[in-house]
Amino acid sequence: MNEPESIDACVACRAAIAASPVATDDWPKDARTHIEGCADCRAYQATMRAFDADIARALALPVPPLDFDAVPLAGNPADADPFSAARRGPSNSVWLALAATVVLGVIFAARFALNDLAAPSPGTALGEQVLAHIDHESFSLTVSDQAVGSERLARIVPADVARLGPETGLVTYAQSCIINGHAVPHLVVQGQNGPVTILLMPQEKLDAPERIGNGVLSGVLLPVGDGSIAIVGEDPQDLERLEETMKNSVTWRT
Amino acid sequence: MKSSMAGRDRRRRFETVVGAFHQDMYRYALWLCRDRSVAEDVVQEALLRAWRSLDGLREDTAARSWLLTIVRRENARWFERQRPETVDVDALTPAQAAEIAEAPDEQVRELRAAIFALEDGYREPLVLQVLMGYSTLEIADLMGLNQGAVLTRLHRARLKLRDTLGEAEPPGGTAPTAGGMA
Repeated sequence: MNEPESIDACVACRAAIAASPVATDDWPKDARTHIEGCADCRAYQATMRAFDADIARALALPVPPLDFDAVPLAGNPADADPFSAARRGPSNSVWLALAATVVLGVIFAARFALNDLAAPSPGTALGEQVLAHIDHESFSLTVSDQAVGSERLARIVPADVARLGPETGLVTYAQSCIINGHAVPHLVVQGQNGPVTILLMPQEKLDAPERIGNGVLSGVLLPVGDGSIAIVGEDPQDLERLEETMKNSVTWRT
Repeated sequence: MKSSMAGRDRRRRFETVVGAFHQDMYRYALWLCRDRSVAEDVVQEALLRAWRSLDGLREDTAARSWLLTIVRRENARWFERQRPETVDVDALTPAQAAEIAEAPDEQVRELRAAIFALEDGYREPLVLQVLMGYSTLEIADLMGLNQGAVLTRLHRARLKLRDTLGEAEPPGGTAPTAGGMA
């Protein structure tokens, strides 16, 4: 990369990298083309992605728990329809009810599903939503050795919904996200060859396993009782290994 | 009876939406104002406003963007109301020093201090991109900028942080251009 034109291309590419190390869709087309043939720029991108992971850690300031009782909703539409404090914690109730039928089948479904899948397809609306959501939170897909704290993990995946054992692997991202109008736990687990996304969706009933993919990521939606689990990553071997692991580490409680 | 059920549904929807994104709301507010007690006020006001205007949220898939927009406006309102004294942006307040001291390790402490010291116009898009996963177009929309300006600010923000931390850029790497904020 000694030619002046190449140096200019490198500078332009690195400006794009520094502006958006992860989401390359935001780059000019020239930069996307250039990086494919420039090892130096790819190395710079790796450096900046690692730097972004550090920034993400620094930005993750502790957040106090949300207490709806402390939000003074009087004097607004709540007055017209007062909300009884006795109903506090409906989320848990809803979760519990919806998870009630998600039972030991997860073990067997997870074990055999990947073997019985049909050929990959563009995916259903749910598959598209899952992939779009992962793409939207692509910053979560970083290689990391920083585990999510057990307190946070317990908050995102309440014990009355599911239990994650140590066999699940290193969970480096846990967030409550909305899929199809429902808050669902969104986890990223470090696989042997990269991060793997898991979405626990007790409200999303499926009749059969469904392969999903978008050219970069691939995975599966596994029916589990009246819900489903999405397992999505880049390396099929990781997905298979994680599927094996899940059967031993995830338990839906009824 | 019907009204009561509708009220419960509304409340349930509010709790689902807010419960999912409260953490994002709080962190966004905290990085905007850089003061935990102010962030708590801002989030409280934002929750009230969200409750009042919940019916205006058509799709729950747009909830996070909707809530963060409310937080941004409430933060601006808070500063309009309070008109806090002008402070030296280079000096950490005791509240910011406390946030930094609570960092789990030295690397996070140094980086957190550097982010606190970034100008608002650089810090905000960085938070939206790295912490919230916003695209540069979404950031541009929220901040009322064009995409090019957002890209420039993000580029400069990262280089400023690396410069503060003494991280060397590779040969041929980019350096922040002179001049003001895009």
